[in-house]
Amino acid sequence: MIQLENVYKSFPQRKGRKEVLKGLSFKAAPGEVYCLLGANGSGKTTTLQTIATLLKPDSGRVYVNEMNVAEKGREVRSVLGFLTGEMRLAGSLTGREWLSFFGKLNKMKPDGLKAKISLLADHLEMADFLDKPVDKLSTGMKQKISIAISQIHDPQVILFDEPTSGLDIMASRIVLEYIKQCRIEGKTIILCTHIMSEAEKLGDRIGILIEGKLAAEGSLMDLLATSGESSLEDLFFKLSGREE
Amino acid sequence: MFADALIIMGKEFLNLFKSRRTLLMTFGLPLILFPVLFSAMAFVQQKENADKAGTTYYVEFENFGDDRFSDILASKMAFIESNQGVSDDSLVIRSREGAVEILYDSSSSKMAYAADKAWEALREYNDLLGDAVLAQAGLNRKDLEIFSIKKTDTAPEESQGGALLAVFIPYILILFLLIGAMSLVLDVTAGEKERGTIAVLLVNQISRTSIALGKTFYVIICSILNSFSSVIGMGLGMIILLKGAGAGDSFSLSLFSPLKILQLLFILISVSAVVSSLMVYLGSLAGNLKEGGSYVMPVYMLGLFAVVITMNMEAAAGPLYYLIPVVNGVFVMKSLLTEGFPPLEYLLCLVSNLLITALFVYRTSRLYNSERVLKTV
Repeated sequence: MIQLENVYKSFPQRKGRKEVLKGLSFKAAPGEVYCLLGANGSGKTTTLQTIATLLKPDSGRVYVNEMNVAEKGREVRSVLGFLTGEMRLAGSLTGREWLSFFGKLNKMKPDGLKAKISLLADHLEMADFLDKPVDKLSTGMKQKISIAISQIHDPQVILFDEPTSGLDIMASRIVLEYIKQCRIEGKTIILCTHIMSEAEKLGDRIGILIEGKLAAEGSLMDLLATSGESSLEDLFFKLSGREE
Repeated sequence: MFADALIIMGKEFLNLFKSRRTLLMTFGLPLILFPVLFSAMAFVQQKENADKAGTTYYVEFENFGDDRFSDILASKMAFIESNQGVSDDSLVIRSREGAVEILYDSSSSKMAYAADKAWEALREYNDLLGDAVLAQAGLNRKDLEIFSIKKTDTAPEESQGGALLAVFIPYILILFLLIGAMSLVLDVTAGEKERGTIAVLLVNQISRTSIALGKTFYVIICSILNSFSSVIGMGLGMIILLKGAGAGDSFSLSLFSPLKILQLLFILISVSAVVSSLMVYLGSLAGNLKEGGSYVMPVYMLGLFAVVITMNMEAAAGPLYYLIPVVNGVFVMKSLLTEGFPPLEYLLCLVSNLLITALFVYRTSRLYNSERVLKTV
């Protein structure tokens, strides 16, 4: 379970501060994929980083599995899997070595770690390139390894920032299927994306973030019914004030 | 906390050891570079000397009343008498009012060599004439020596030559320690941010202090290894160079007893700890590699400045000098190589460096525990 209550977050600038989150509140329940839709700079990444204990809110509260992230950062991190959209793996380590490293950081035992790596390699179809240095892999292959890293310790709460970024259609489908599998396993998932079709397919509920505020929230059916729009894309453009 | 720091350090080392190119550039290159460089220098020097000795020079000179000068000069170098004046292949020896002058063009190294040989020949001819004058008075050269002068080095045999080593060993060790730290620190700090892996690293169960410690340990160890490989490489190079010059026997490693090496190692570790922890802190403040480079470069320049200005200084007398990082390391190393073990100064240096390291590690740990480390906006 993830819960944000009236969260404000700003960053210092040369003159004053830039408010990125302006009273953001929403909930995501176990077994639910909550899609956060927003344009660049709308506050999606800041929201995820705040939940992931990387940023502290100026005011408001954030709970993960009923733990306040400001007070129990380390406990919160133990149940969190975070895939950042900015991650670009590089260097001579193989995918297996990266997974092993993050498994150790998450206090996994060698046997459990080995089994989990095999399982993820199977689910995300990574067996062919898992033992190659990441420097020699394509963007899509690296992205799959990044997703596996975020899942290595079997987290109950998953934060995905643009998980299909850089992936081709086949690889995207594999990742989306994996997210569905996580939902079936009862995990709480927040998926940040700007791809409307992904939100339509996966989102049990969708939150549309415009300039740090939740402009609309609900299931796809509810959003379209209340707005009278025929597609999520039309609704998004209407809410962002760019309707033609 | 230390076990977690070792995981971080282990990953960085694994990455380093798997990258043959980085490994070679960091540790292998200094080992290979200096012997190759010094061998080439010795080879070029020998070839140049042979070339100079084998050249026939044009020399314009007056006969000093007999052929003896000409014979002496011929024993020093091959020459042809000419009257073409000074040029890049000829020199002039002229005599005016009791003074003999050699005119040559120093922009040609061959003519500088020829001028030296002419100087030697003139000295020898002068001695010959002097001996004749003394003989007429019933004297010889020994009669002019009122007393003999002798210089005796009372330093223990193993310490002789320590003064020379004390000048360049601390310089080389600390110079390469700075280079080693600088070349690796940016990849594990600012590079981590540029690649976006820092956020994922921070969302884990280990403490963020462990992350800061792991990175600092890694840079410390690498910079020391880099420093040692450079000193070994340079030592090998020196042996090659001295052997090439026919002075191979004058190089002795008897100064470096196991105890002395251990004492030097502790000092080197403490200096490396200060430099590395400061660089890790500055690298962690930067948002990308370019910015990191501009933060770390002044530390390198300052360190270099401190080493250069203390290079020819005697070990400092006041205890305050031993509290200044890098400078204290140079002075203690100088003392170890020349005077022996200085207990108070050694302790001051270690304690000061470790306290300053602890301060930088604390600051880095605070940084990793704050959101500033992300530099998101």
